[in-house]
Amino acid sequence: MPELDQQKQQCLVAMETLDRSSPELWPEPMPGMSGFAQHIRASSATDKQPSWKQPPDAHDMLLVQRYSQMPLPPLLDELKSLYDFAYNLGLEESKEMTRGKYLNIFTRNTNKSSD
Amino acid sequence: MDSDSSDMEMEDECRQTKLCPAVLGLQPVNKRNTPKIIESSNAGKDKLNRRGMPARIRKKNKLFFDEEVFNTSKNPSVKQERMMYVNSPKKQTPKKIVESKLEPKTPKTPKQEKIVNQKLQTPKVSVKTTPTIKLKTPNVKTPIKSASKKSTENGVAKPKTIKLETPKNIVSTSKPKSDSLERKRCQNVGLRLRKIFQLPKAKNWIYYEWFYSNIDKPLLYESDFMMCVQDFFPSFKIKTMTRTEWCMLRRMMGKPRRCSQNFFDEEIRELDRRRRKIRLLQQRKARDELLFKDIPDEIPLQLTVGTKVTAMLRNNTEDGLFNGTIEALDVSNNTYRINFDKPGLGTHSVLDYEVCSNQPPETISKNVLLQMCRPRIPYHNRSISPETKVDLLKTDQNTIAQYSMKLLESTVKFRKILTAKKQYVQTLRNMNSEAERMVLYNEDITPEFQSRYAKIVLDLDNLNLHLTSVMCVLSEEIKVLAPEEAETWPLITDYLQNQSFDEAEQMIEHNKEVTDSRFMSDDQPMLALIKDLLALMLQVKTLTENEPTAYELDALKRTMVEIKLKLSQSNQKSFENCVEIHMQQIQSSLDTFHTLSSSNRK
Repeated sequence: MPELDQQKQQCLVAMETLDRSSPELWPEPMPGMSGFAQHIRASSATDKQPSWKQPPDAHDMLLVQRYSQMPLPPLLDELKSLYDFAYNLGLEESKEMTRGKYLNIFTRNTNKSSD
Repeated sequence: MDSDSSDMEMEDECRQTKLCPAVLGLQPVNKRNTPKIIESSNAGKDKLNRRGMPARIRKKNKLFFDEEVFNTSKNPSVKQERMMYVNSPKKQTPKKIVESKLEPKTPKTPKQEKIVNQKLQTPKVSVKTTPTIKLKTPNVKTPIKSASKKSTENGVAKPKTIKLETPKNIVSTSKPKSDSLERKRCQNVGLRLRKIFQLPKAKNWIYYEWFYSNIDKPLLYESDFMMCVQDFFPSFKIKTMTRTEWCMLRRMMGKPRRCSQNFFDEEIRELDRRRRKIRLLQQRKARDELLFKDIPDEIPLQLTVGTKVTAMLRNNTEDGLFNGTIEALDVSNNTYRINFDKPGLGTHSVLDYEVCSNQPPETISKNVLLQMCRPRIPYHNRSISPETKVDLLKTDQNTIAQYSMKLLESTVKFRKILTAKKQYVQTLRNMNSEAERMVLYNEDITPEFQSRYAKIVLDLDNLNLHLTSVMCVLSEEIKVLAPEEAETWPLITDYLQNQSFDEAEQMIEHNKEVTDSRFMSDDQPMLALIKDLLALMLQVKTLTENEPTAYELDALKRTMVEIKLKLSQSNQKSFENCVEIHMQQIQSSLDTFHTLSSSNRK
């Protein structure tokens, strides 16, 4: 009888694993990043401004002048091409970001040590 | 002609052998029994006409079946000729020799064969070649003289049979049963050819006569005259007619154009134009079918790297046709980079119309190429280089438009940021590759690398914030500038956002009686919230309608942030629980689905 019970119990055991953790609601965009963020923000405040933040130079003024003399349709086309470029860059950026995410650059060492 | 047929036959024989033995060192038939006093020395002799000028040599035309008749009737008395032949030893001109080299290929009568066998001289120099290349064309002649110099020539067929760089290889055909005599004769001919081919004029002649590059073959293969015949007389099928009949046919077509330098220039220009079209087709840049009407249906493909070719090398030291291998293709100036087999020649760029593949070229139908053509970027959308901009300025100087400084500044800034972003993305990609390598080798990722990576990511984040603000300014400006244009730009975040808000507003307007009856005037904030949430729902709806883009997700996020900020502190919590969580779920599912997540914003 106890044997039968055991048999019964065995066939009733579900093989399904339910070790699913509840989904992370507010995931970090880049895991392990936030630790660095504080540190770098503080340090980079003293760094020199990146190129795109610098005030317009002679070349920019030249561009402004050129645009100002353009008729409307070419200007719109130019803008459109810039938008397209931005979109494509965004795609590429997201691709690289995802790649970086799965490489676990910031959490790799900690994971390793915990293992 | 037919009256004294036996005599005529003899004379014909003479006529035929007269050129033949020029190469073979044979004598006319009637001198058969005399000892061979004249041999190769007078072989390539010019015969003189009555005026003492070298007789014009008529090319044999395969389309004329009465060629012999024509030749004998036209020439001065054969007797006189024979006298000349025997008595006056004359200096050989290269041209003459070149012509005479065609002779071994003329079909021979059995009689001639006999002569050949009878009169065989020992070759003075022994040649150690093996007969590899065959000069097999029985008639390498132009069928009809048409207008253009090059297009007249019908020798398209065998440009590769002649290799200048290895003249010793050239040996005329020997029949399978060829005995040693035949072989020696061939060697003799080969030896002469070798000498001939070293002459620059002969080289040129061969180039003009036989060398057809791959790109030219479809253009020059058909004689213009035959095409005209097809045009004028579509039902014309006969291929052999007498010269008189051909002349009659030509006369019916009208007066031909006078041969002049202008005419040649025009023909060359035309040829260049058609070559350009073929190149466009080859590069799949052709679109308009009408433009390519005058191009033959079969287009040769571009030669690939590694193809064995024969190419015309125009060099200070070496000049002529050489074998080589293609190493690269330069589309910008239509050249092939060719590594020549002959040691010391090295690698040179050769124009594509001077390159001919040793194997028959692969061709593809013109229509297929036209269908395969790459989608062309509209003129304005190409990245505008300074020159084209200058052009634009010149052409449109009359219509100077005035734009707000804000627009111009943001455009320039937009451009600047994008350039910077491109660099960042590039760096990010490189670092990712490096990290991948580290992971692969199970190396530790150094803290220095991590902080560098983090800095890039943060910079990108910062940059993206600026980018968004610039884009917002820009899209507003564009809306002012060209309202109808802006509608056609689907990828603008706040355009999407505003659209949904407008739509929500309209819906509320539409149901005014309902809203008026339900809400008091002091319930305006409630109405605003309804409007906002309605807009949010509309945005979610657009997500389902078409393929979601990053812009749409962005609009959704921004709308949520805006709504949340409008709410009071106490209500924010319930908003998070009831709305934001669900939106987050929708977003994350879309993110994984489309990997469009803009990881820069929360």
